[in-house]
Amino acid sequence: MLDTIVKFLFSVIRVSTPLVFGAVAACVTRKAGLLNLAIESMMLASALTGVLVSGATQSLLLGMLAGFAAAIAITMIISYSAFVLKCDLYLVSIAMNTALVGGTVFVMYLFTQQKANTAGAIPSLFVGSMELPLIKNIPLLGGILSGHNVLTYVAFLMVFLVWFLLYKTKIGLRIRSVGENPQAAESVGISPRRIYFLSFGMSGFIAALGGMYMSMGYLTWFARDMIAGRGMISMSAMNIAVGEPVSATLAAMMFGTADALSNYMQLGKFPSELISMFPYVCTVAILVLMAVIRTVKATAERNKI
Amino acid sequence: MKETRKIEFGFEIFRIIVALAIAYGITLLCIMIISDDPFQAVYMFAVGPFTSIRRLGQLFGKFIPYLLTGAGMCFVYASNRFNLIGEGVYLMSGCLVAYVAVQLGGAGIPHILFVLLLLVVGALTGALFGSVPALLREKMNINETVVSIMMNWAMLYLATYLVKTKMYDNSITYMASKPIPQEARLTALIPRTQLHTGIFVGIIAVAVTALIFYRTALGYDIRICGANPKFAKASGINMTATLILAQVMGAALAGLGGAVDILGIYDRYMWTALTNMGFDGLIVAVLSKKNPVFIPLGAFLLAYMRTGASILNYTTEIPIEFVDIMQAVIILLIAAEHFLGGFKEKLIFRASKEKNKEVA
Repeated sequence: MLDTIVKFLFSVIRVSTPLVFGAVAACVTRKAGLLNLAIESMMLASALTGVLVSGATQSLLLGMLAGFAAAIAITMIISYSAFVLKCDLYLVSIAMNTALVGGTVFVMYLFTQQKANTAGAIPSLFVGSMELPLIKNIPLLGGILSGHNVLTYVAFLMVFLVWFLLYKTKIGLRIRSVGENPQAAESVGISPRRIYFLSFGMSGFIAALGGMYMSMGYLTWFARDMIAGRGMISMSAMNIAVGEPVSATLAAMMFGTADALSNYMQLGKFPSELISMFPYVCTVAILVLMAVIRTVKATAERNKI
Repeated sequence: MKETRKIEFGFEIFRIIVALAIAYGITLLCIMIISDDPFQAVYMFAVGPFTSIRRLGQLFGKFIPYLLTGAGMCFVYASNRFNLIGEGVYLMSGCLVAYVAVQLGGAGIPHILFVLLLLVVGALTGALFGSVPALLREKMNINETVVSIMMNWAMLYLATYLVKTKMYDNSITYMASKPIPQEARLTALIPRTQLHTGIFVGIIAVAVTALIFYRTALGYDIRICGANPKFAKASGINMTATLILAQVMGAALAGLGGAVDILGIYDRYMWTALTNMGFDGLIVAVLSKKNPVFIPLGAFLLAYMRTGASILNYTTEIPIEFVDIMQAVIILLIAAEHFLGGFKEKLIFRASKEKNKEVA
């Protein structure tokens, strides 16, 4: 029994990792006042590019650099269309998501003549797992926390880094001020457009790690549509947390738990679809709850005056 | 002033054509690169949809639901709300319509009545689910994009759950509902093609949408709310009601699309992934520039591209997915206000300069 629980909690962390990356990536743009719907496409781009380049060069470093470059290129296309060509940001993001779901399959076919996955076709490299010294010797806790993929630890480090960036650095202050009031920020000489480009770029960098975790850690190949809504789930985790990196991570872990649970339930008789529905229904419910609290508070304030 | 508007209108058309040409060029280039026999492949993609009655029928099979989802998304897009509920509603409506059809099959309801009833079920499903993001947005100010995307995935799982528990057919090896009774299905206009009587539903829906848009106060209100919310508020339009109505009607049309598609082409309900139809509807709305009159054109174009791609997919080895890239390029270029914007301003500037000369 205890063993099952340890295994389950281990898998919760494993499944949550891409969601944490995605949620933190979404926080960066949210603090600049923009909803990032394109995390899905950034993850897909980096997942495929990482596999292709690491397979071709047999260098993990080059593969990962290419993965970052691919995701950042996507963010630059989105930023250019939205902030320079004045296309609707949501429209571009959604278009980019569908383009990448198909586009990655197309590119994969170009290189491997496969339409399903790159397993066996490309000898790609992957990021290994790591035992935590000291912690691994603690009973139970060691089994849960130790032995994860290196990128999993990077994910939790990233939460702290993004928090630090947003609240303790000059850039973070600028990002937040543009998010609060772009006109006011512009009046003191901060270019909102530059901040938008920057925050999307950083968001792409973080999301790229999530994408590469999927294809070079969680699995060791690229499969079509392998992100499968994870970008959207992480976006909603961020949304529940109103862009706070730490609470967004907790929300992402909650959704990760639902995901892990539905994986377990598929073995049993309980309909796994209902558990798969949970993150989505939960997001809507929490958003409604937050809106209600907001209205109640606002009315209370008004009555005070 | 009139001169400016004329230039702007002509320019819009010019820009759409340029956007399509660029996207088409990129696609043809992709095909050339990937194919061993590029000329055959390009021929299949460009002319393929018109080479046989069956393929033309396939094109119409896609065209019909695009008319409906396109009209639906036109309502939503014109009111400047980014509500993507059409996607999930399409699927959910297909599922519930199939369920009702299976339940009532064999009860001896005449064909026309049965179909009408099922279409009402589809539209109501759309309106019901579509009202959730609309109400949350207009009454509680919750982002409609987030809510609708979340609901789409939830509806996908809900529909799959319903099929597994309530409609599952044990006699087949894949997951699908029991067969939809023959008397509920839309008849093919040309036997053994996908061109079915649903096309009349589509044409009526587009006509009604165009009438509402340009001949009723509601349509005017919707367009004003979308184009200039501050002006709408200042002129005393009831924005909350108008915008809710626009989004609910849009969702109802998308639901109708799902019903028509499932009754026209499928013999069972078997969608286990998001159909992308709601998003395609949005593309049609973007292509027609929020003007319902152009929806048939946009729908035909998209259906033609999709059919060409699917023919290419089964006659050659080229994967169908390259169309997704083409679509994104089209959307980007058409929806981008500033694409070729400098050129437009130059034209307007020159026209006004000439006018000034004439006056002088």
